[in-house]
Amino acid sequence: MTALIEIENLDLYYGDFQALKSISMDVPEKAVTAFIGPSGCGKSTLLRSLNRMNDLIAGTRIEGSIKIAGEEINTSGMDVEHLRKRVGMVFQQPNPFPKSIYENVAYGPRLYGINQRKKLDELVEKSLRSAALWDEVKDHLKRSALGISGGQQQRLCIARALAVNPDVLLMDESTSALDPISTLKIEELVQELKNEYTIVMVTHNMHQAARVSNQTVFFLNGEVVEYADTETLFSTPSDRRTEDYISGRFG
Amino acid sequence: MNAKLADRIATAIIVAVSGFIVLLLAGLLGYIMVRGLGHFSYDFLTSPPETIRAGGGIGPQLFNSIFLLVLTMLITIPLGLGAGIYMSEYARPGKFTDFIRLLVEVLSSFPSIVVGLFGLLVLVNAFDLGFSLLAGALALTVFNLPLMVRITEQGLKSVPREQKEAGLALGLSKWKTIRSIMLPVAIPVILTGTILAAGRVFGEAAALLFTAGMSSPRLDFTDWNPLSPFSPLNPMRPAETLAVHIWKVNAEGLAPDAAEIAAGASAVLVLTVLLFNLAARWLGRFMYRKFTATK
Ligand SMILES: Nc1ncnc2c1ncn2[C@@H]1O[C@H](COP(=O)(O)OP(=O)(O)OP(=O)(O)O)[C@@H](O)[C@H]1O
Ligand SMILES: [Mg+2]
Repeated sequence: MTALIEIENLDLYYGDFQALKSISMDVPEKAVTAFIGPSGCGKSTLLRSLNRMNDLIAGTRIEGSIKIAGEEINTSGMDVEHLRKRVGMVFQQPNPFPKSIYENVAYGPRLYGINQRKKLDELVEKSLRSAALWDEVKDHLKRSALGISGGQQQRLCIARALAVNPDVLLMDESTSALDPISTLKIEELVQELKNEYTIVMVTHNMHQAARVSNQTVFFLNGEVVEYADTETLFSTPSDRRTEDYISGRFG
Repeated sequence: MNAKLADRIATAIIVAVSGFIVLLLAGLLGYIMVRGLGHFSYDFLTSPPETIRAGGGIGPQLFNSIFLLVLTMLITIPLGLGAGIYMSEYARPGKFTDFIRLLVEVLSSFPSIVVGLFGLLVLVNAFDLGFSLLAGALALTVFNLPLMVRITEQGLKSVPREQKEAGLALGLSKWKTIRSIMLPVAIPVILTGTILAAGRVFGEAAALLFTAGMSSPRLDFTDWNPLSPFSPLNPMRPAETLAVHIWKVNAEGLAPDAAEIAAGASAVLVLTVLLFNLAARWLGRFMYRKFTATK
């Protein structure tokens, strides 16, 4: 598998606090990579480095290199808006815009210059289908996105991210606020999506990581402890700390 | 004393206090209305006042109040929105920003008579605006602007952080996120606040005595050229507003029906402010539904 994202010697500081310590790893293309580890170990921080969302937090400092498709993103000249178009994000809490279902999905494409009604309609349908939501909402696209269930909202957020045709999809505990059935739906969806997108997901649910991902990265205190095939990591972890964590002895 | 009893007593006290306040307000409102409504007529609302004879109206004053309000809002809304957006989204948190915020607070709690005198010295005399609608509008801006800034800030802060992040994560620029994601969500709050602020402007008297003045020229309601001196739209003419008129009639009114006129004018004032409040709620809800597509 080819690496789409190459991270090298990445250090990240929140003020004086070092949240990421010399992280190096490759994220393979068109596969699911899961980040696991106890609370506060830096999973979200690393994830948010990939679309430069940490820029929003005053006092963060970042050293080292992140290349996406060969292009360094940690430069001042980087077009962050364009980067975020290529690297979509789905958050922990479903956060649809307070607009109609249709508008939520059409919003991004419109921003990038697609204005023809027919084209938009097609794109909205395609994105909603990709997010496995179309059948549930196709008859009331004009309704508020705030009125559908949490699980549906989360899939809408996925559709919204897919509508701008990203290469990478970041998911930060995107099922932790959902019921088991919705969670299952999204897990199935992720399985589908990895054929076309590179997916990086943070999860606290070890079973989820084992079920869904191809690669798993175990973090501890801002460091990568172990990075391996999901199967290998869960069956024969090479580090004692990984073993302790996945067997539930801490974290 | 057991918890249930304590709960009951507390509830009873709260209900009693609220009831008392509601009664007080209802009484006050009722008093003003009962005294004033009898004097209502189309004539009263449209005709000019009389100095010595009975039967004068409040037409020009009502117009002045509304026009002054519009002028003030034309100045405050863009400035307040801009400053509020800056304070909430762009200013780096720190001592300097806190200091600006403090100044804004202080400004909004200035006694209005002080603002009026400031207007007299600076706007009317130093800037040579004379007693004019413009001077009045600028004086009102002094305490309306801080309110507007705070309302905008509050509105933007009320937008869930997740939605702001959603916009940015989709690749929207900061300004675009503010404009097309955050402002629509904030608008009901901002709008409601704005209309309430407008209500306050409408009722203001002290700041206007020495800025917009205590007299109106004979207005010619057929002349809508803002440059001609008798045009109602001329912003450089002196203008007595409704609230100032009430004060003047009460203090030095010579007309035999001065008391009735004051009562009638007060009722008009209160009713208008009441309408403002109702409009604020209705519009806020309407906008929210429109922008968010909820029922
Ligand atoms: N804005 C911030 N300012 C300062 N420190 C922060 C900030 N955000 C996170 N941190 C710290 O950085 C470390 C890593 O945080 P991060 O959110 O990446 O953890 P996480 O692995 O995602 O945890 P969780 O599983 O609870 O989401 C934590 O110790 C946290 O306290
Ligand atoms: Mg996290």
